[in-house]
Amino acid sequence: MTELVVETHSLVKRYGRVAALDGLSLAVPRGSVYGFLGRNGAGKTTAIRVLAGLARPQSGEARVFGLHPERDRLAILTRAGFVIEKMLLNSMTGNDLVRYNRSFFPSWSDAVARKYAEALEVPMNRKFRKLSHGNKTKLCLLLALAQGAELLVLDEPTLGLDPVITDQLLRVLIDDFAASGRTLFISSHHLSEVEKIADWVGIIHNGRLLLEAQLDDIRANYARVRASGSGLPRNAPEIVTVSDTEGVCDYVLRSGAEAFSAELRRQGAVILDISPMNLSEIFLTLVGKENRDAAVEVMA
Amino acid sequence: MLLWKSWRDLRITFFVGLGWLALQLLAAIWVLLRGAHTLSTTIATPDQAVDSVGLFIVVQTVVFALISSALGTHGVGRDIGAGSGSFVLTRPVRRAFYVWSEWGAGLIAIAALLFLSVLDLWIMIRSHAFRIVFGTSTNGAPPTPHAWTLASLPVRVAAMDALCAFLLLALVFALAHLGTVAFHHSTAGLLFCLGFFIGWLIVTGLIRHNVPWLAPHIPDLLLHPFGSIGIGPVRPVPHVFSSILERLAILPLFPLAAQLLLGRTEV
Repeated sequence: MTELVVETHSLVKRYGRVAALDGLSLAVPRGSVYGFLGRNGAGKTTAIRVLAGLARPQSGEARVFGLHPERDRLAILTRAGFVIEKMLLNSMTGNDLVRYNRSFFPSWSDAVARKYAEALEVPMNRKFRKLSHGNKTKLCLLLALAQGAELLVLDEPTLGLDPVITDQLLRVLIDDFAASGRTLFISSHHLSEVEKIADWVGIIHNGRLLLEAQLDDIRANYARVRASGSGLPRNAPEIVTVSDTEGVCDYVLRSGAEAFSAELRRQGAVILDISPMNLSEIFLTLVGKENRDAAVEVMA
Repeated sequence: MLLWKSWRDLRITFFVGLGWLALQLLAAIWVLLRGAHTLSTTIATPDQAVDSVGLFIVVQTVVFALISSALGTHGVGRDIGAGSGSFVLTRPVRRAFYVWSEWGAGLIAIAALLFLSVLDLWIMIRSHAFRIVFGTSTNGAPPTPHAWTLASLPVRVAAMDALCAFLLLALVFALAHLGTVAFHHSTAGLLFCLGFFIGWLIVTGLIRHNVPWLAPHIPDLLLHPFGSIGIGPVRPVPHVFSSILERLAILPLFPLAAQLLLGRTEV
C-alpha cells in the first residue's frame, strides 16, 4: 500500500455562506510530484492553509505525515515547507531571513541557501520589500529548500513570473528536490507547467475534488470519441460528458474508450474518431460550466 | 531568534526614544552653558523647582506613552496585516512565543528608556544645582540651598516614581500590542489603545458624576506614589504598594489575551 504524506477526508471549510472546501478528500503519495489544479477560487489555497494549520476546517479531517495539522503543528512544520503567500518580512534582507530561519529547522543547510542564492541570482543584501516579484518568489523557495523539508507545499509558485524564471524554478524543484525522493505538492492553474512536472494530479472545483490520478493513467484512459448514429447512449459509467450536434455525438470518456466504441458499433453507430486527451482538455471538461457536478474520479 | 526579530521590529522606535532623550540632554546642557544666570533666577524657589520637575515628568510621560504605544504596534499582529502571516506562522515555533518575546523586548525597551530618562533628569538637576550652589549667578542672586535638596532626591523616591511610570507605559504598550494582534493592523492597535483611555475617562467621569460613592474606588490610571515630589516630607500615598501589586497582577492578562487571540487566528 502506498504511503500517504498528505490525506484529507471530507474537509469542509466555510467563510460565512461560502464553502471554500466542500468535502475535499485528497491522497498524496510519498515521493510524488502532485499537481493540485483548479481555477481561481476553487479552494486550492484554503486546502493548503488547512494543511499548514493556518485555518481550521468546520468538519472533516486532514493529516500530514499522519499528523493532525492543528494538534501536531510544530512537528509538521519542522518537516514540511510551506510557501503560500510570497510575502516574507519586509524589513529583512535575504541574509537576515536566512539567519532568522536557520534557528527553526534542525535540518537547515546554509550551503543549500548559498547554492540557490547564487544559482537563482537572488540579491541577498537587499531588503525583501525592495526585491522584484520574481526575486521575492525565488527567495521564498530558497528558504523552503534550505530548511531540508521532506515535503514542500507550494501555492501558485510561478504566478506572475516570466517564462525564464518559471523554467529556472521548475528545474530546481524537479532536478534537486523531487529527484531525491521527496514529496512536492504544487497548486496551480497553469496546466502546461503541471503537465511538465507532475506525476499525480488532483483537480479541485468549488471545494471538491473532481479527479485524482496519476498523470500517465489519465493520459492513457481519458479519451474523446466522436460517433454518428441514432439512439446513441447518453448515460454510461464511463461517460464524463456527451454533446450532440447534428447527429454526431461527442463523448468524453474516463476509461474504456475502445470497449465503448465497440459497443456503439454493435448498436449501428459509425465511429468517426477516437483520440486521447491531454490534461488541458480533461481539465476544461471537468471544470467547464456545464460539468460542475461531475462525479469524483479517483484513479489510483 | 524571536527576540532578535522583536528587537529588529522595534529598534527604530526605540532609537526615536533615545533621540528624544539626547535632545533633552543637549537642550539642558545648552541652557546651562549659555543661559545659566537665566535659569538660576527663574528657578529660584522650591516651588518653582518642583513645578519644573513636574512639568518635565508630564511631558516625558506623554512622549513616552506615545513611544510605548508605537512599540506595542510592532510584531506578529502587524506581520499578519502586512501579508507575512503565512510565513511567520508556518515557522515551527509556538505562537505564544511570538507574543512573549515581543512583550519581553518591548518592556525591556521601555524600562531602558525610562532608566535613561531618570538618569537624564538626575544629570539635569545635578548640573543645575551645581551651577547654582557654586555661585555662577552673574546677576548677584544668592545660591539657593534647596537646589541641593532637589538634587539629592532619595533613590527610593526616584525608583518608585519610575516604577509607577513604567506600569503606566507598560499598560499603554499592552493595549497597543493587544489591539494590533486582535485587528492585525498597527493603526487599529493605536486606536484601540487611545479608545481604551478615552473610554476609561468617559466611564470614570460618568461614575464620578452619577455614582459618587463609587468614585473613590475607581483606580487612577496614572499612579501617584507620593504626596509631593522631592521637596519636603515625601511619604507614599495610602495603599500605593497594593495598587502597584494590582497593576503588576493585571498586566500579564494582556499578553495572555493576545496569546489566546493569536492561537485562534486564521491566516
